[in-house]
Parts: sequence; structure tokens; C-alpha cells
Amino acid sequence: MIFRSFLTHSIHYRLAIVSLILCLSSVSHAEERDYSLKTIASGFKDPWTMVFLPNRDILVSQRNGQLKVITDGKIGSKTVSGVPDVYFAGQGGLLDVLLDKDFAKNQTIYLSFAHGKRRSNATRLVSAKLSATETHYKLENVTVLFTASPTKSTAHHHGGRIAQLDDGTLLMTVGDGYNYREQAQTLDNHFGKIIRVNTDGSTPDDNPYVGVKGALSEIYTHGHRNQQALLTYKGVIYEHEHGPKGGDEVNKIAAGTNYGWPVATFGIDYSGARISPFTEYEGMRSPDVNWTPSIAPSGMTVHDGALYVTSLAEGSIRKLDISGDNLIDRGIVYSKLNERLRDIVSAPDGSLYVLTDGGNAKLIKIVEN
Amino acid sequence: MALFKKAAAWIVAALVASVLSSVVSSQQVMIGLIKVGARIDVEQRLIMTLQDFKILEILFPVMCACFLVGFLIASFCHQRIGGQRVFWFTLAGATSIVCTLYLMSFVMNLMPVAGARSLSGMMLIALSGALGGFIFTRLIVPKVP
Repeated sequence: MIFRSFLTHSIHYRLAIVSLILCLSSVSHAEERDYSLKTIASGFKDPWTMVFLPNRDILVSQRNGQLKVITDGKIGSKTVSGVPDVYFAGQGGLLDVLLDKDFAKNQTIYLSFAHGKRRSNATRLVSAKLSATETHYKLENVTVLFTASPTKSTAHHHGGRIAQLDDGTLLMTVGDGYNYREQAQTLDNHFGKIIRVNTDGSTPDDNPYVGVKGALSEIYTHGHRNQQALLTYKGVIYEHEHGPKGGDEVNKIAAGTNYGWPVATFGIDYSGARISPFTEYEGMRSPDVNWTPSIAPSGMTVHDGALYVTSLAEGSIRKLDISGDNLIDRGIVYSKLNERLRDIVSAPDGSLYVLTDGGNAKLIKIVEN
Repeated sequence: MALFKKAAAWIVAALVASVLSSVVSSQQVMIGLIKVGARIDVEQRLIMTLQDFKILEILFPVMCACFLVGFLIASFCHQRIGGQRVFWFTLAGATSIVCTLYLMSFVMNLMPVAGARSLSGMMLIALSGALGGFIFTRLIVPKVP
């Protein structure tokens, strides 16, 4: 019946349908490559991120507050002590780990985590010195650089991704706390913001809202929901964040910009209700990439000049080409993993390492054949 | 037949309370957006309110369940304690939906109905539940012996 209907329509109509099908198929699996998967380590409990140390050891953060060390493919032969206490609940716990860009000289490491308790918790950024022995790592001189304000009584949407700019200052995402979404639009709080601080926790003088009455000076951008990734590449800052049902976004971050949440969004609430009547709004920046329906992006890394994004809901790795000022979603490039993926890192050996999600997670290396 | 009438009244009461709660939630959400500077005209407000009825897919079964428990307790209290029947059922309508939303909020660590995040929104939704309880007593009038 459908086929007969198709044949009876004009050639333009048929060409349009065929083009649409080809277009959709090319978007969903753009450049599937010849590769295999190698499990490096397994048994992680709710991991969030990973980072390669100069000696090739890998640190993996677990939301329960532990930093696991992988040495030569073995987990647990070294331990890390001195990790601050975290609030481990919901989506919270120990989150991001970032080495200072001069780590080889100063051994400085940055951690983000949910801090506090059920009725009063907030995202916190600390710095520490990572000292090492043959069998052990230790975090020393742990210094609180920033704690989001005010505290919240939900265990969701903490943000917590850290990036370091070329000038050495630190950016960190702070989520909207789920119940506090409208506050992402006001500048008297840290909900739904990206903040910027110096490595000693002070506020840089050139932050966009320094001296603005009623605005918190650490705020760099606002109008965010539940950010999952943040990185810099060739002087450009890239971020992605979860929408609710639909409206996942990839954004290029510019100081002082309003990214719209919750006034402008392509997502709807989990209940089925609208978040807002608007998908775009004057004075608010629209996303560079919008994923509706949601793929639930998680990690993001730069690899061979492109952005690679893992996803939780889609269980895939997508490639985003950087073409001038545009980001082009090339679709799924590695689909064999097919499970919830938490993070992705371009490793020093030139390969991609992927962290799966959940209570028995794995660290997987993608080996190009 | 009596059971069928009670079931029909229970469903009508839950439906009215659900629709009202949906409307309340929509207005609360839009008021929240207006407070942070969004301009929403009457047409946009009306369209979003109508589109938000999609929430009934979830809200109506929840309302049915909490009214069932609430009305059973109201009936029990009325028989054992006495007093006005309309008082017990109106109170049951209000408290059952509030308790359910707070219970869901406690378990999920977030408020599932956006319009109920504020105290004013929760009170208006409680009022919707109260009206549902009141309607139930008007639809089911017990026979005087």
C-alpha cells in the first residue's frame, strides 16, 4: 500500500523521499570504521571520568569517592589517599579530575565533587598536590577553590566538569540542581552556570560580571541545565549538556553569554509537560548542535581534530567535525560498544579510551585495525 | 450498580483534579519563566496549557491511585469519627495528592511535577485535589436510612 502510494506520486516527491532516507541513514552511521575493542580493566563502580598521568598510569574517578589507579592494565595495584569526602547520592559524588597544564612541574591536580548532605549540598572544586611512591598516590594540600552557592536539596544536576584555559584560569560547570531551573537565568546564584576562577580560588578581574550589581563574580556563562562535558581546543571552549526529554545541546562557550535554559529549549519535561513555549529567544544563544530525541551525551574529547562524544542513552560514540565556526554531527562512528558510555579520552598512544557506565563498568580501548 | 457509580465518581473526581492540577502546573511554570524575564503572550500561554495535558498520561493514574487510598481512609474516618462527610473527602482529596507528590519527591530526590516545586504551586494542586474530593461527595450521595 505504501509502496503503491509512493509510485503514484510525482518524481520530485519520490526523489525527496529517497534523499531523506539516504540523508537519515548517513546521519545515523556516518563513518563506521574497522576496529576492535580491548577491555583494559573492569569492575569500576559508577565511574565518572579518567585521566592519563605522565607515567601512563590512569586515574579513574568513582562517584563513591574513590580514585582508582590502572597500572599496566591492572586495577588496584596502587591506591590514592587523601581524596576529600564527597556527597555520594543520585548523580552526585566524586566527579571530574583534571591535571594542571603544568602538572609535570607542579603535580597539581583538580577535583570536582558534590559536597555536603542530602538537604544541603553543592558542587565543589578543589586543588591538590599529587605525590607518588612506588605503590601509592597521595593528595596533599587539598585546597577548596570554589563551592557553588546556594546549596540545594536535590542529588541531581551537579555539573562538575573542569577545564583549564590557556591563561591558566579554571572553568567549572555547575548544574541547575533540577528543582531550581529558573535560577539558571539569574546571576545571583551558581545554578546552571559555568564559573571561572584562578588556580588559587580568587576571581579573575576580567570575568564578565565582575562589578555588576547583584551578580556573582565567578559566573562566566549562564542558562545551562545539566552539563556533562567541557573542553578547550584551539582557543575555543566546547560544552555539552543534557536536555530533559530532547534538547541535548552542544555549545561553543563565550564569556557573558546566556544559553537559554529554561526559557529556550527543544526539550520537554519527563512528565510530558512543556518546559517553556520557546525553542529560541531573543538575547539567548541557540545550541550549535541539538539532539532531539535525547542521546544523553556524557564525555567528550578532541581526537584527530574532531570532537568525539560518548552517550548514555544511545550507547554510542558520535563524531562532530569542526568546520570553521560550525560543528557538524557526523553521526555514530563506533557502534559496537552498545551500552551506556560514561566518558571518552584521546590517549597518549593516539587511541581512544572509553569508560562504560554503572556498577560494573569497564575501561575499553578502541583499536583501529 | 452502587459500586459502578462509586467507581465512576472516583474516576470523574480524579479526572477533574488531574486536569486542574495540569493547568495549575502550567501556569506556575510560566509564571516562573516570566519572573526571570520571559515575555509570554496569551496565545502562547493557552497553547502551552493545552499541550501540557500530555502530563495527564502520568498524572491521572497517579491521582486515581492516591484518591483510592485517600477516599478509603476518608470513608473509614467518617464512619469511626463522625463529622461532615464532605469535610473528610475534601481533606482526603487535598492531602492524598500532596502526600503522594512529597513521597515521590523524597524517593526520586526531585519534584516530578514542575508546578509543585513552589509552595504556592503545591497549595493550588492541593486545592485541585480538594475539589476532586468535594466532587466525589456530590456525585455519591449516601442513602438516608
